[in-house]
Parts: sequence; structure tokens; C-alpha cells
Amino acid sequence: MSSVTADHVPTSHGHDDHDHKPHGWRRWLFATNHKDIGTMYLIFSFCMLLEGGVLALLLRTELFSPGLQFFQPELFNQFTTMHGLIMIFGAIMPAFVGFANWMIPLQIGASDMAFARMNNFSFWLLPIGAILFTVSFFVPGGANAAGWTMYAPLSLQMGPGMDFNIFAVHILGASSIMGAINIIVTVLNMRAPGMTLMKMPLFCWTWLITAYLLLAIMPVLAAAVTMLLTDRHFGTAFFNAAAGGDPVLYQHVFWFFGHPEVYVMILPAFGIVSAVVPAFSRKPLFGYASMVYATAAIAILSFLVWAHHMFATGMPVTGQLYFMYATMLISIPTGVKVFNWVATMWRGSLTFETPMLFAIGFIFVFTIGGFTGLILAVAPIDIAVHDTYYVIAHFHYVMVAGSLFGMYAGAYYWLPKWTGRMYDEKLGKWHFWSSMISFNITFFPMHFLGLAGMPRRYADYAAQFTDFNEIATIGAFWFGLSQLIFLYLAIKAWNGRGEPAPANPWEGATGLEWSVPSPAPFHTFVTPPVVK
Amino acid sequence: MTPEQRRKNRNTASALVILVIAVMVWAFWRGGSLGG
Repeated sequence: MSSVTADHVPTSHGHDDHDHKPHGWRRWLFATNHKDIGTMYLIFSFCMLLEGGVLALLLRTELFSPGLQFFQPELFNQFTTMHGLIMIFGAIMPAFVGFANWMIPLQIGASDMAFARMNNFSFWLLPIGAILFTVSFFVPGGANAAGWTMYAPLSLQMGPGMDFNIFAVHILGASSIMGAINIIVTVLNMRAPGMTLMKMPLFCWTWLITAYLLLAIMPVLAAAVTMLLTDRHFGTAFFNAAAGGDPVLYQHVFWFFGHPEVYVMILPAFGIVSAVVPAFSRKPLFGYASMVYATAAIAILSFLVWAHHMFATGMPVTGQLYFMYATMLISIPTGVKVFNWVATMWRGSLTFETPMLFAIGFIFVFTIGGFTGLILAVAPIDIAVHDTYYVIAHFHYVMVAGSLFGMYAGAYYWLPKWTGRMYDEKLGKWHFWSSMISFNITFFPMHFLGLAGMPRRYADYAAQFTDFNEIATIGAFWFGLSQLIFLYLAIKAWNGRGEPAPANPWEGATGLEWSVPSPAPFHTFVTPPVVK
Repeated sequence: MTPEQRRKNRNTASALVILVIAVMVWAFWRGGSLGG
């Protein structure tokens, strides 16, 4: 691909100009427009990011000093668990669906998503799931404290908070499955004439593959938590060792979902970075086809490596060797991607606006997370640092600097298209540098803590870990406050303040989304464009 | 959207729903045969 041109240029007299839209609360409650639903997804996910972020700050507050300061260990464990669940199911996944809703129809020249009403239903399931998560803190026994993985047998012994969690996961899973079906059908059936699969922007490709991943894994998670539910209340013994079940089986089923889930949360970010880097390098993406194949290879391999999360449960050496080498194999297609991004920048006419800063930051810091992932893939090392802060550092380098920075790159890149206003570039750069520095202050010391043996999911720790924990806590508060800059910029743009944005504010950006005015009209591509 | 397009979308979605149900049944079956 990646520079498609269309012979469809909407004008003020054109077909795309009619901007009739419902008003008031009905517009949002009964929304069927992909842009409105995308906006709701993005707002919802940012609210959940703040909720999960507050929980993280409560954890870091307790961990500022050794000993118990503010929270009892039971409550601390509820915070760790709900921080993970809310960030994964409430913040990251819905945020990427928001991006998909906004951008996929615009990028493939479709008038809307394939199933507009189902799209509405998928969104409105989310607040129900979020309420169940949040309310579970106030039921007897409190929220789920078994960790986001909900391992048996601990999860079989929890109070009713666990049932709230199980229902929330069911509901959010149903929402994800519907969203995935909608995306696949839209991409496969609703592309504009001439928009062949291999001309699609990489973001659509990464989301198509992600949607297939979701369809394959969310039913497995649903089955796993349903088996938990029946073990808890209906006398079955899937995972209950006392009745002849096997708790390790739960881990196998969970991680068959859980490992591909990591790629569900990162592949769309790869797609965003693959849009941003060429735009600010003023060059087409290097190795488009290899990017597509690498994405597919990552997705396929992600199904074959789940037990690397379980080295410490004990498994035959042949099993350890297989999962170790299979995991290392994933670094090859991932390396292809990193190489292609760097090659795209090579001898490009680079500028460093905020989306590009976040994209380069993503590449740099995500790669660090990838390397620590490789280290963790080595079974003997994994057994040594299993369930320590090394693991926490690793996956926050992947999820925060990976998924979140990728999302910020996309948000700044497309904000002019969404709102019709340019953000304040200076504040955007402040947001990036402040986030980048504070992120590393928070999470880099955790590598050392993990290597020194500090276990995760404990409210207390030995005195020798104090210094690095103090640094991490200061960094966490700095990082949390930095995100308010983005909130301010987003609210300002959405309120129509700031410099008006042209249809294509970026010199090097290509693609159908830039052929429509900014902000994108309520209805776009009612007459499909013809892509050359 | 034309009726033809709607039919095509519905057929694709139906195939995907069958895939989802099959995966869920498979997960329960593995759970039952390995763990129970």
C-alpha cells in the first residue's frame, strides 16, 4: 500500500455534507453512528483508565514504605486485582475498539460499521460490566482478591465479589465478541471499490487479525470463568482438587486465553504506529506486506506459547523446552516490525510532532519490554524471577509504554479529524516527555526489585527494597498527574477550542480518512469512494 | 446498504458466531475430559 488515492473528493456541495444527527441524550443512548459510538468508547475507556489509575496510586501509596501504612493486605490484594481487571477489560480493550469504530470505516471507505445496532449494544454492555467491577468492592468480603488471573483454588474460596467479577467478565467478553464480529464483517464486506485487502491501512489489518484473535479466545475465557462459577455454586469439580478436579487445568485454560490477549492489547497499537511513523517520516511504510505477514505470524504463534506463564507449576523438561523456544520465536515477527518502523524513518524527512514522539517512544520502550519478555521466556530464569517485580516491570513496559503510548500516538494523530481542532503542540510535547520520564522512573527500578527477589502482590516488603519503592511511588504519582495534560487537551479540542484543523493537517499523512473534512461529518462515504 | 450487502454481512456474521460457539464447546469439553 500505503498511499491510496481516491477519486472521491467530498465538497461542501457533495454527498457527504448532510450532517443530520439526533440531538440530546437520545443521540448517545440510541447511537448507531460509528463515530458517536467510537467517541463513547474512548470516553468510557479514559474514565476506566482514571479508575484503574487511582487504584494503582493507592497501591503505590501503601508501597512507599515498608510495613502496613494505610491498607490491610486483604484490601491491598483487592486493589491489585481490580487494577489489572479494570485496566485490561475496561481501559485498554475498549479504547482500541473506540479507535476501530472511528477509523476503520473512514479508512476503508465504508459508510458505517456493518451492524450498527449491535455496535450500540456492544458499547452499552461496557458500563454494566464496569459497574459490576466497581460495586464488588462493597459486597461482603469485598472485591476479588485472587489476582486478575482468578486462579483456582483461591478464586473458588472468595466471597460474592468473585461472582460479580465472573458476570462482569461474561458481559465484557460478550461485548468484545460482538465488537470483533462487527469489525471482521465490516473489513471483509464493506471496503470501498478498489480497496483490496493489501491496500488497506495497517491499522485495519492489525484490527482484522486482532478481531479473529478475540473470537478465538474470549469464548475460552467465558468457558473458564463459567466452570469457576459452576465449581463455586453448582457442585462441579473442574478445578476443585478436593473433589477430584485439577487447579492447574484452570491455568492452562486461562492462559490459552491470556497470552493471545496480550496481543489483542498490542496489535492495534502496532497498527497505529504503522500509520504515524510513515506520516511524520514523509515516506511510505517500509515493508508493508511483511508487516501484514508478521502480524499474522504473531497472532498464530500467540496460541502456541501459553504455558510459558506456568513454568513454575512444574512441567516436563520437554514441555519447558518447547514453550521456551516457541516463545522466543515470537521475537522474529516482532523484530520484523521494529526493523520496518526504523527502516521507514531511515533517510525520511522526519519531524517530531506529538504523535511521532509517542510513536518513537513506543518503539523504544516497547522494545525494552520485548527484550525482558525474551529473558522471561528462558525457563530457568523465569522460575527464579516468577511472581516478582521483574514480571511487573516487564508487562508494564509492554502495556503502558506499548498499548497506552500507541493509543496516545493515535489520539494526537487523529484528534484533528475527530474534533476539527488542533491540539496545543507545546502541551502535547510536555505530555509526552513528562509521561516518558515518569514512566521509566516508576517501572525501571522494578526490574532491580524483581531481580533482588521482591515478590508481587504483597502489601509489605523487606527494608532493603525501600529505596527503589520510594522512587517508583514518586514516579507513579508524576505519571498519573501527567495524564491530566491529555485530559485537558482532549476536552479543549472537543469543546471546539483551538486552531481549526484542515482536512489533512499532517504533510505526510495519506489515506481515505484525510480526504473528508475535519471534523469528519456525521455521515461519510455514503457514496463509496473508488480507490485507485 | 443494499439488501444484497445485508445478506452477505449476515452470512459472514453467522459463520463467525458458529466459530465462537464451537470454541466455547471445545473449551468446556477439554475442561470436562481433563479436569473432571
